[in-house]
Amino acid sequence: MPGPFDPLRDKLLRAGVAPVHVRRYLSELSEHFCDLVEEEIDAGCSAPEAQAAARARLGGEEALADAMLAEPSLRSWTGRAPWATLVVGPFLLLILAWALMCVGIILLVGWPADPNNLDPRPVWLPPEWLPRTWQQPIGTALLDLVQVGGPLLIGSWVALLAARQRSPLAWPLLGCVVVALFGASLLWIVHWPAIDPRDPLHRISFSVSLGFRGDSVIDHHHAFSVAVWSQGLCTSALNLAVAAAAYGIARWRTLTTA
Amino acid sequence: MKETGSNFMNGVPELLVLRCLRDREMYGYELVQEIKGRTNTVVTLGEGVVYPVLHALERNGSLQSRRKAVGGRSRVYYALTPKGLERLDGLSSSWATLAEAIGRVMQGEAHAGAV
Repeated sequence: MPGPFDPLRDKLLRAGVAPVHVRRYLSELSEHFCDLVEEEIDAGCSAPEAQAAARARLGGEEALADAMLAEPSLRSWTGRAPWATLVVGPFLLLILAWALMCVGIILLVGWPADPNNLDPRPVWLPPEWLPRTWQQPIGTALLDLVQVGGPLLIGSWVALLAARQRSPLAWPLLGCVVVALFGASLLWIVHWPAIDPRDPLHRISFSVSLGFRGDSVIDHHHAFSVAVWSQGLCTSALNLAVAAAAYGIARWRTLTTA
Repeated sequence: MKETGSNFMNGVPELLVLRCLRDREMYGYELVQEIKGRTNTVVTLGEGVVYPVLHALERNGSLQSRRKAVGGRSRVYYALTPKGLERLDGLSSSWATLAEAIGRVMQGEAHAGAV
């Protein structure tokens, strides 16, 4: 059942006021309304008269909205710059997740010296307390978690953020498409080390393209593959479907709990 | 009661809120009644519009809030911070200067009318 301030909630959120401030504003207005009704009843009004008087004293919907919109510091980033929080931010977050994944794998399996001694790069040896047989399973789990889960989580986060802020659908849609396509296009390939921790052959590489898959260093080919392309599209569609489900659930919850 | 004209009210709610909260912490309804009482209802705001002022002051560090359950109701109490006290001092002196200047103009008009 809609509450007396629901139209105000929608108006403020669509105008970019941060959900946390909107929630608190409406809760404070409701409390204030109850206090005013009590005061009017104590002064001898009937319940309907008291409610009407309380509503009038609180201020009209326009005045209540204008007062909130007059405070720019109460706007959220999603309201102020949806392109940044719903499109560019998630894209950068995906890249950050991949970078952290690479760092994690390097910490796990080590960073070997250049076999030809041409590149004086720093050498990182894997931790001695971790059995070498555990490196690959842990690393693979981390790789799958970020490669599969990263775009799903980030896409869902974009959808939830947009649903909470009642953002125009174009922004979360664009953000989710970017994350879904880019997330499905990028394939990480890890060549796990042999038993010798100084084995120079292990490395991390990636390919970026929806239909082209292959390790350019080893395979020397980047042939287009319909199968890979279809798989990439299916992964993108799955990412989008999960984000759409998150958006739908969040909107449904806001409608039923408002 | 008719609301006080908004053209004359720029910055006034903020000043009154800070001044009232200097004495003790209050929640919104209490604060509005305090302002009405202290100004003999000369300053009357749409009561709900006090909350955006409170939120903005809290956001800039002039106020701090805490939720407290009183008589089965959940209230958000606001209290002045040291930064808010500084802001109140600044606003008070600006207001005093402005009121004095306007007073001089009005007195001048009265003198001119007498001549």
